[in-house]
Amino acid sequence: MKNILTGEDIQQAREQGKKEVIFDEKTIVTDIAKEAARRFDIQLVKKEAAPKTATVAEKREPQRATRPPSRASSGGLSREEVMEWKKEFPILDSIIHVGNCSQSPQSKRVRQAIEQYMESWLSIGMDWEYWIEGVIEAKNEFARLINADPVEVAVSTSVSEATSSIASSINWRQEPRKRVITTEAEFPTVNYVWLAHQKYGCKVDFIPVRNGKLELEDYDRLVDEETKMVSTTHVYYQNGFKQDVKAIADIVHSKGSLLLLDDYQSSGTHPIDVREMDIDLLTTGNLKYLLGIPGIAFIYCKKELLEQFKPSVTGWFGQENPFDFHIRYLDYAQGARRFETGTPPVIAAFAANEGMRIINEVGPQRIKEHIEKLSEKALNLGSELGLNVISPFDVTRKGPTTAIQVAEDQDSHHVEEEMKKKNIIVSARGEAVRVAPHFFTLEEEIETVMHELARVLNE
Amino acid sequence: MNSLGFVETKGFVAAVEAADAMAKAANVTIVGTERVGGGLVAIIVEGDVGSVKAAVDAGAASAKKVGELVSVHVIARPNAALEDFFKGIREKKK
Ligand SMILES: Cc1ncc(COP(=O)(O)O)c(C=O)c1O
Repeated sequence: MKNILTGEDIQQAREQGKKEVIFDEKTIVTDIAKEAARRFDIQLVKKEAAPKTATVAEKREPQRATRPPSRASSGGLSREEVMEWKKEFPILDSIIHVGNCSQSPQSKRVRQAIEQYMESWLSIGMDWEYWIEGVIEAKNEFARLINADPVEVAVSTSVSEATSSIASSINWRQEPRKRVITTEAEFPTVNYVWLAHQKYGCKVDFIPVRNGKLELEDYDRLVDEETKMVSTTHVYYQNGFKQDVKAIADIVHSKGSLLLLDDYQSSGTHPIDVREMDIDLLTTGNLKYLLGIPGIAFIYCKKELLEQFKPSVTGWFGQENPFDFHIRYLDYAQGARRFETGTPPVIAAFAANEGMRIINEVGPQRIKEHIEKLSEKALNLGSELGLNVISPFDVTRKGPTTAIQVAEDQDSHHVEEEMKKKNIIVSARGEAVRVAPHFFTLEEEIETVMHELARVLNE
Repeated sequence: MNSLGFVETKGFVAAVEAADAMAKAANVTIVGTERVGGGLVAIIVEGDVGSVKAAVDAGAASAKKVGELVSVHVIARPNAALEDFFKGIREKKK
């Protein structure tokens, strides 16, 4: 009889701390098992070991040769403006910070905002009115950023919590539409939330990633009249691929379904107009391009839809009047505040507010144009230097991230460390190193980064 | 045509366990259960390729626990001719 290796077997091997799973040639290994092994870094070893060197050589084959060079629109920030903004971020004096897909650098203004909170706590002691006002101001600033009405905005603590609030607000047992379509390009946390809700009766399907992208045809094919929600990312965290949100919204709405957008990898680098783009729900956090710190996230929900959502991930701040202290019934807030749970992340809200002010001041449209210029530089130079660039070559279809795949025998985190020694912050993720600039990055800095990266990778 | 997934077990209980796990794990439709003879039972599901892969994996893991798992297989893009074949099975069941 054949032996069959499943995802669960790999999970068990992992729990037992194994680094490899050995199987014989009669064994069938399911695709899920292979995927799990890859994710947990567990080697699948066939007994009469396959020749390894061949696969390494295969992987290194450059795959960019046929791509046309990209062209960016003109625009963005002038050199003088960038130099002026650089003064706002002290670390940029000595460091090239292109790890913004993970965490942006500290600005003086955000630091000051945090200090204002610290000062009030120190000198006044308890200052709830001021603190809660800070949270409300942050919500207002976020509403401005995405062209929403503040009543359509809720504060949360992470995109995971925000997505959980939304997923838990649908009564899956009674809901006639049971399907949720998510994608293979989601930051995995979003998928975990949906998968966890399968026990309440929803069914999760995935739009596949093809050549690093999600295709509109697949939305058209998979989203149907049974689909309650399409949960998708604006920008793919791995390689920066950016979707056409309006086109997706059109498909989703034509099937009577709702669109939930994870905007984390895009917020602060691309203008968002929730009305024009016809987005039903949106989540995002602040520590990446929005220049904030961990601990805060936001939910947008279209006004007309609010009433149908009754979250079971909830708490007193989600009630119409939290200070009523009623105990026998639920009275969800009229606005998007119904998605809120407990005491809000005050200190993170002070930081988030100031970070978003900076972004609104510089202007998302100009930041987008600036980043397209930097993308063009990174893509074309990466190609010229023979790096394995796995991002889309059309700069209008990509966010700030340009991802370079490292060879099989290289460790992306080691590359990140080596780059740090050269005063460059890049961000490693899986088999890729991500170069993610912002409006304070100069084209010549991208040149330095790509050359240094090529040097480290060829060492 | 959608993708097809197969889990074959020895004995009916393992097959039912597999079918249950498959239906719970992903958005697939159970197209049929075939008694192949010799105590072998095959569960056949249909759905998009990702769901079918997930279902087959979950079905296999569950079947192993309660009985004997014989084989698993996924056909990502079945030939159109298979459609008639499975239509036959479905009609036979009605
Ligand atoms: C697109 C995207 N969504 C969500 C997250 C993580 O969300 P959180 O940690 O706030 O739950 C990330 C983090 O890298 C991300 O890139």
